[in-house]
Amino acid sequence: MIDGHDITKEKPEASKSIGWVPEIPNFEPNAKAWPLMRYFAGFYGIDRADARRKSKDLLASVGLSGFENRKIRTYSQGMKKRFSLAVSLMSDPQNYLFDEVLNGLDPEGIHFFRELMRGQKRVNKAILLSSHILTEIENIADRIVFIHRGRVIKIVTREELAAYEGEKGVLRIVLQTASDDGVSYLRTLGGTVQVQGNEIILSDFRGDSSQVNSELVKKGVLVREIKFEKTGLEQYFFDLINRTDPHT
Amino acid sequence: MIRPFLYDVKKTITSKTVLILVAIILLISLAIIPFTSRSIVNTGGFSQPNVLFYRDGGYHFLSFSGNQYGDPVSGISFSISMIGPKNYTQTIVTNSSGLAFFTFSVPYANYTAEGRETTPNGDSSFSLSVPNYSPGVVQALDSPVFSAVVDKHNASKRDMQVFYAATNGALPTAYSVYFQVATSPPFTSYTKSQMIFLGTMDNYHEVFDPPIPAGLNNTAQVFFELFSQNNNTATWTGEFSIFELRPQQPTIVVTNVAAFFFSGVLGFFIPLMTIVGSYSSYGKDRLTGVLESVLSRPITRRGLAMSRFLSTLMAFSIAVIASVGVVDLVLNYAAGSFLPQDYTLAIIAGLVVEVAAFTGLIFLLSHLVKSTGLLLGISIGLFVVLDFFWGLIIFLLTLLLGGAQGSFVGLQATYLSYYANPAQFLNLVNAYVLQSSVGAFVSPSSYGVTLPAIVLDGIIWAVAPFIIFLYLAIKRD
Repeated sequence: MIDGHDITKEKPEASKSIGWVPEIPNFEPNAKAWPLMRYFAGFYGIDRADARRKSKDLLASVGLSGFENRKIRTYSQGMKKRFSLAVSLMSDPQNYLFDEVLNGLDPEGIHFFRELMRGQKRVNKAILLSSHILTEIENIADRIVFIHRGRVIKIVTREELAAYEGEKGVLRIVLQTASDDGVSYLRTLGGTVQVQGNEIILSDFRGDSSQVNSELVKKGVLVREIKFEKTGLEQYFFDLINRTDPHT
Repeated sequence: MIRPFLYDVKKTITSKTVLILVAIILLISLAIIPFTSRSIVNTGGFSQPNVLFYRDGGYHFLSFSGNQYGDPVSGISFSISMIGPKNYTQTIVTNSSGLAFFTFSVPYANYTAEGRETTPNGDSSFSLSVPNYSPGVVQALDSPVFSAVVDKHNASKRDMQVFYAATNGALPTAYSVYFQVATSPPFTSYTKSQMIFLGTMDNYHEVFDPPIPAGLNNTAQVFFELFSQNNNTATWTGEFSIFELRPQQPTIVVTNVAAFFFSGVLGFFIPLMTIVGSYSSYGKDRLTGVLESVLSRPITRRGLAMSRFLSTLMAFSIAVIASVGVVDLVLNYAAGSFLPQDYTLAIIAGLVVEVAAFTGLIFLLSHLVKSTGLLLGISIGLFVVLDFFWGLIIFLLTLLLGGAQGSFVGLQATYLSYYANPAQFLNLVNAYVLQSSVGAFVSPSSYGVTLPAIVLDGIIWAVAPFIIFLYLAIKRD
């Protein structure tokens, strides 16, 4: 259902309410961008004059000014995605479906899409971004749906994720010299302890790193460096699939 | 719903590939022109040799070599032999005026003259007794003084060529040519005052374009007379039937020419063009995934499939109608009559069935194969089998049935096979409408060619591939 329209039964109405940008845009390679935009505009009932103006404006807004009359086959992958984005903006839909749009983009392209999504969010547009780049999702998404093996395994809000990140992370401690007392103490904190010489990594740490530092000093263990890193979405995902599918 | 549909129809019809293919179909329809040629002009030919003769202390000959338009041709080898008590031969090449002058300074006697003109198109020769006219009097040998030549600017007209010399072979500058048209008998020669001045002779050879009125009846005659200065009695006369100067065009049976052209040329190319157009408008887009970029717009699969099919069908149907129109116009120009209306409509219907069938087949195939290469390969293979090798298949089928080509069994196998082949559908239409096939009169119904069967076959070919395609387009993807 898209804005109350069943995509299978009311396809034209549902399609009007959604702008789709695929991972690999596939347009008629010999078509030129501007005429193709105007062709697509016809499907949305936009009249000829409006279609001309809007097509030009949208191409400019996605950074394709000067490339309007070039054939699509001459476009780079990033340009094709920008073109696809311009087409998806044509009807100013309330919803967008961005399917792995960040794949294969250069940093400038990723930045462009990130800012565009933020801009659309600000004007209350719904964007469904599918991606394997979890750090980007973490930066942008309000709600994250985890899909594993074709099944939705978890839906979390940004707040829930922040709370999760706030209480769990990786504690990295570098001691002056290796110390069994120090390691023994850290094992009591829970989580997984890895020791590599005088460096100790404590995964799944929940607590206050400054308090750990104080306790180690009290035990006569000199700490050269202590650093707490939040777990992040990636770790959250791994934890999630470990819980739902331990054999993965 | 209807607007996106119409929009896609417009886009397909105005696509570059479809427009090019439509233009090609229209150009192909102009190929009817050579079939309407009636070969009334032997272009590049030579007129018959013209030879003048007079005696004056010897024997003198003056020959003229010209082409079919009466233009002088230089460099033509002309030989004249005097056969008598002794034989004499001279060979002279014509000058820039197409003339060759011969003088035989030989004693008077009974001679026979034998002449030979050697042209690039072959030799022509004559043999005549040399007349014993008074010395100095010019006589035409073998050919008349007046002869018809093709008008340079209008091949259906004939001009009048006059080749003459004054006494003792002098330039006939004091001579003038007159003509008159007689529309009904009795045909007698006219006096100078009764005739119309046509022109004066400035050289031995002149070509005149007599202003003969149009619309003369078949019995009309045209008289030409050559008058010397101040003489009201003609020196030479010529009489021509109107057909010699305004030859009638051979009659063209427009339906026969059209039937041959539609079946042999358009019927051959239309399937090919339709295959290419269908591949371009749908097959390629579907197999390369381009159609998905359109399907994500507000249009249903059914709508897109139908719009592409109908627009391709519409584009080529318009091309077919225009093409038949062009053929009809050309035939009217050449033969003076349009094709019978019912025949024209039947041909258009037959061609539209071919277009619909091949469009449907290619659209359908594009849902059964996985690559553009395979689709193209199968499509071309289909065309080759249905258009090129169908005759061979029929031949083998006839042999299998124990018949011979041209036999009843052979013809029956041929016609029945046409029902199974959309590329041959037009042959069925032609056979039924014209009641003939390959020039031989047949009774189509005795071979199974009946109107209900043709209509049913046409409907099946036009609709069945489309229905299957539509089903696949909606359900299979």
